[in-house]
Amino acid sequence: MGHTDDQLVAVRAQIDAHDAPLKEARFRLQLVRDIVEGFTGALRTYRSGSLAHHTMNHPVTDGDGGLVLDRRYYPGLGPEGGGEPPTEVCAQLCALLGPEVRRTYPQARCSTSKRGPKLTFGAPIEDQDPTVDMVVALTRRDGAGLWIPNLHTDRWEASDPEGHVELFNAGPASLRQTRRSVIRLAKAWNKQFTEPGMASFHLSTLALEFVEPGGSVARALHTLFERSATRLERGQATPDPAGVSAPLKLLLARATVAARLRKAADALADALAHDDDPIAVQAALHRVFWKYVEDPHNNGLAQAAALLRSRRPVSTAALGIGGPAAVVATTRAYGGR
Amino acid sequence: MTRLSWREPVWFARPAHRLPFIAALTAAAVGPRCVRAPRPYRGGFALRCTITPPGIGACTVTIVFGKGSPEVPRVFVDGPTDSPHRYVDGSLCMWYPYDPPERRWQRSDGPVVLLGHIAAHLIREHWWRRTGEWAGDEAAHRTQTPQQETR
Repeated sequence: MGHTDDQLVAVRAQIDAHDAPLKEARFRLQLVRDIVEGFTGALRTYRSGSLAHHTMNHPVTDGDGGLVLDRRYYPGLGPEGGGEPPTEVCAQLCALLGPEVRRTYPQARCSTSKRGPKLTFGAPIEDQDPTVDMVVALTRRDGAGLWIPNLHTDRWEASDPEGHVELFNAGPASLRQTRRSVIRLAKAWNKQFTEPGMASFHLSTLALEFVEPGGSVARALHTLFERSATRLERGQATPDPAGVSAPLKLLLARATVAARLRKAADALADALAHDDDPIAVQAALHRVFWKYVEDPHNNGLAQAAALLRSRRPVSTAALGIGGPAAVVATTRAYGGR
Repeated sequence: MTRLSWREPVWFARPAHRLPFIAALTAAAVGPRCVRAPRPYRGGFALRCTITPPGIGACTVTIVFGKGSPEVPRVFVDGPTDSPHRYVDGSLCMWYPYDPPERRWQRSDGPVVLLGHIAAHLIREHWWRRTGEWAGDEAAHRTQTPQQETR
């Protein structure tokens, strides 16, 4: 193992989810699943998201799952039924969940998120208080996957969260392990940006596509950044891995996300090209994981960037301007060629 | 024969305004020197000085005030120009022109604060070139949306 992989292990040690909150998130999700299985017309429940994909990072924020309803019990619901929107059934589920969860967590509250009921528990563990998001899903008459609600548009959308879990947990053990490590690192990279350019699921999907058996984590991470950047530069979208829902959307302009991925790919390529030089590797990895890897040359740039990232007025002295100190207000950069 | 109406001279036409501006830059130890304004701003007021933002090294900065819009500085810097926030002529886009005055530089803020804005912009650019992160707010100027992607 070269220095790049060694130093990525140190990054992973910083981003790994802690055991106690992870265990707590799993317990909460199971509790909610047990309760909703008693809901009228319930067929089954499932786990989804990073908890089910084994790609949770620190801090543990949520546990995702879903309740699958038998469409025949709700003939009015969904695009293949009477066209009824999901709002009412989500409200009914919330009415069941709130009192039941409060038997175990007296401070728990049930509200709704985009996909269905969202439980908050008011019982932090190590300053982390993971929520549970429960998707209310309907079986589909035609086509694979499920109908899941979009409460923001009050419509149903086709998706296959159970299929995603199968896909992300498929393959030989060594491939799964490398892919999970790569996904965790890519998520940590993405979250460093004040405005992340991609959803975690999008990065996971790219890793599913691009991480191949046999390589080290560093090489696999480089491949992920490199191929993802190329895809975006070519204007191509990422298809849903289960082939059920629409192609995945970016959270920012394509050019912005592509530039970020390209810089990360170039920096990792630099690290791998100097894999026997720990300082060169550290300097290159600092360009990718600036919140986790210190700049070995410590020339003040990272500190100055951190100061500016805070979006607070900054003294001219901190910006290297001499003479009487003055305060520089925050502005919004504009323009572009 | 029609007489042209009187117009107030631009601020830098008066030594009483121009000299304190230069003096403030001198006090900031950036070695200001007056230079000829570039062709598009002919007749304007241009200064060149050297600043050293942390982590970047010395940069030669040219600040230009044109006669057409004398309150708006155009700032040119030597070195790399790849940046998401430059105008077509290579000058720095440090603020959104239609933001409220407190989110833009105004002449009453003084030249030292302008140097601060320039240094902050150069630090952000340098950081962006390394990492892809713009360490600060940006006004949206791109029209392309994710929906425009093709498969």
